[in-house]
Amino acid sequence: MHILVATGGSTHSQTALQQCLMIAALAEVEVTVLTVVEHEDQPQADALLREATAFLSPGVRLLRTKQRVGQPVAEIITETTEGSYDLLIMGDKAQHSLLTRLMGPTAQQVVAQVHCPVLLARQEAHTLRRILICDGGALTPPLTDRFATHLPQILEHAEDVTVLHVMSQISAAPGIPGQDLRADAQELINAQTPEGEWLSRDLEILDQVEIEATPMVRHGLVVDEILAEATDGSYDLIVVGAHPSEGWHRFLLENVTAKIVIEADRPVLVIP
Amino acid sequence: MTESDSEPVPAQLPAVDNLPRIWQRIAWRKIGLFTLSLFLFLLAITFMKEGARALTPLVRDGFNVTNPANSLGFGWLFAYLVMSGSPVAAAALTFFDAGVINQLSAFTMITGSRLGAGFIVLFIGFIYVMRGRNKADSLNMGLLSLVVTGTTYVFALFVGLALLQSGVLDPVQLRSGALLNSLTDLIFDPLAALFLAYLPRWSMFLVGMGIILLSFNLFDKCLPQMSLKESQVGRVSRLVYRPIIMFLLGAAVTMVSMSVSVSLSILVPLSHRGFVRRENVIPYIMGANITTFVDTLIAAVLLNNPQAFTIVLVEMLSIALVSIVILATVYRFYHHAILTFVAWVTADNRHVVYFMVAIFLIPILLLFV
Repeated sequence: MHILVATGGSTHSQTALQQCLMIAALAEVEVTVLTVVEHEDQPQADALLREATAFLSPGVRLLRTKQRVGQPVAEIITETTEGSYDLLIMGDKAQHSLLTRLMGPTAQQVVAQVHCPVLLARQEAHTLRRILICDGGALTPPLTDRFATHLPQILEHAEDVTVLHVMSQISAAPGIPGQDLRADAQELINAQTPEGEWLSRDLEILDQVEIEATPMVRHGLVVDEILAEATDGSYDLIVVGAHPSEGWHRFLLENVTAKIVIEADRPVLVIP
Repeated sequence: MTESDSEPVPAQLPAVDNLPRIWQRIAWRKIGLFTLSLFLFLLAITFMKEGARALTPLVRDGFNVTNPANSLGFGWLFAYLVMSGSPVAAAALTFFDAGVINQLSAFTMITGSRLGAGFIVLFIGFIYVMRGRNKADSLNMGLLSLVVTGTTYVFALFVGLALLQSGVLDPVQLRSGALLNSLTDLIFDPLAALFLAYLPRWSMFLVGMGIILLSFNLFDKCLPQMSLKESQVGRVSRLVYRPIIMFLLGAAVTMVSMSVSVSLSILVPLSHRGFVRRENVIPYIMGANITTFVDTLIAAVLLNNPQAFTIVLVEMLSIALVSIVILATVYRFYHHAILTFVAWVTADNRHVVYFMVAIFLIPILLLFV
C-alpha cells in the first residue's frame, strides 16, 4: 500500500504521521511524506521533512519525502493525481472557526477533489480495530466494495466491522404504514426492504474478503446518527463515501460527507 | 450474406392510423375541469365582494374582530371551520375591500388562514390514530407542516407588519389588474345582480364561500395523478438533498398546486413506500408556504384593489425572507428544534392533548385581545 502523508508541521499534522505509523504497524506500506511551501528555499520545510522522516523511519521501511511549492490544497491534489497512491493521510483540526467552516477547511477542500481514499486524522491517532462503515446505499459500486478493493490491508486487520445505514425517513402522509421506520437491521434484512437488501449485499461483499461484519440501522437524521453511533460504539474509524464530484448529484445533493468530516471527533476515511 | 450486410429490418412500428391523434391525447376532461374551477373562482370572488360589506356588523360585533390580533384569531378559526386556508385568505381580502377590516387586520387574517390551514393534514392524521394506526406515522407530517408554518409565520408577521406600515411595497402593482377586472365585471356582475334579486346581500358572501370551496376542490382534480414506480424515482426520493433545492422544489410544486397539503401529498408517490427523508421535508414546507399565496394574489388582482395586492405581496415576501434567513443561518438548530418538538408531541397522548388544546385556545384567546 502506497501512502501519501501531507504534513505542515502543526499538531494535527503530527497526528497524521502517528496515524500513518499505526497503519504501518499492521501492513506493509510505502510512505511518501509531502509538505507544501508557498515559496522555494524555505529551510523550515526541510527541517519538517527531516523530523517526519525521523518519526516514521522506525516503523516504515520504504520512506520518501517530497516538497511542493504553491497552495496546499492544489498541490496536495496535484500530487495525488501525479503519483499512484492508495491512501492520502491528512491531519485535521477537531474544532474549526465559523469562518473556516463556511469557507471549507483545507481537509474538506482536498476530500472534495481528490480521486484516492483520504484518511483524516483527528485529535489522536487510533489503531484501526473498530470500523464503522456508513453506507447510504446510493453509491455504485457499493462503499464496502470500494473499501475492500482499495484498502484491503486496513479491513483485514480490523477486529470489529459494523455496516451502518441511517433511515431518516418519516411517513410522507397520514395512513402510510411505517413498520420499517422502527425496524432494526435484521428485520429489514428479513423483510427484504431496500435498506435490508443493501445491508445483505454489504455483508456478502465483506464475507468474500473473510470479514464478518455486523449490520446496523439507526433512525434519525443521517449526520447526527452517524456521529452518535461513532461515539456510542467507540469506533476507531468512520468510513464514508465521497460526495459526488460531477453530474447533477454534485449540486442537488446535501454534502453529508463534508458535515461528517467537519464534526467527527475521530479518524474519518473518505472513499471516492 | 453475412449479418452485417443484410438488409436492415425495420422496427415494428404501429400503423400511423393507430397512433392517437394530438387532440385525442389532450386531457379534455381536465381542461374542462380547470376552466370550470377558474370560472367558479372568479364568480366566488365577485359574490364574496358583494356580500362582504353586509357582514360588517357580524364580523365587528358578533366575532369581535376589531384589531389585527382579533383578525389573526378569526382567520385561524375560520380556516379550521372550512378546512382550507385559501378561501379564508380570499375572504380577508373581500372584507378589506369592503372596508370591514383595515390593511393590517387583513394581513393578520391571511396569516391566520395559513395557520389554520396547516391543521388539515394533522386532522387527517388524527382520524388514522383513532383507527389505531401508529401515532408518529400518522401525525408526523401534519405536525411538521403546522409547526414549520407556525414558527415561520410568527416571525413573518412582524416583518410583514413593518413592511406594510413603511409602505415600501405600495408602488409594486400588477398593471393588467384593471383590464382583467373590467373583463370579469362584464361577465360576472350580471350574474351577481341576478342572485341579488332573489337573495339577501349578506348571503352572497356565504354562497361565494361555498363556490370558492367547490372551485378549489375541482382544481385539485385537475392536477396530474402521480403513479410513479419505485424503479423510476425510488432512488431519487431516497437521497438527501440540499435544503435550498427542496425549498425551491416545494415552492415550484405549490406554485402549480396552490395548496400546501396537495404539495405534501405529491411527495407520497415519489417513494414506493410513501416515505420521505426528514432532512428534505422542512425546507420543502417552507418553499410551499410562499407560493401557496398565488391564488390569493390572483384574488387581489380580481378585486382591483392595489392595497389588497400589496397585502398579499408583503405576505409572500415576508415569509420568503424569514425562510431564507433561517435556511442561511440557523437552519441546523431550527431543524433539530422542530424535529425534537414533533417527537415530544407524538411521544405521549397527553402531549398530543396539550398541543391540540393550545392550537384551539390560542386563536380563541386572540379573538378577545
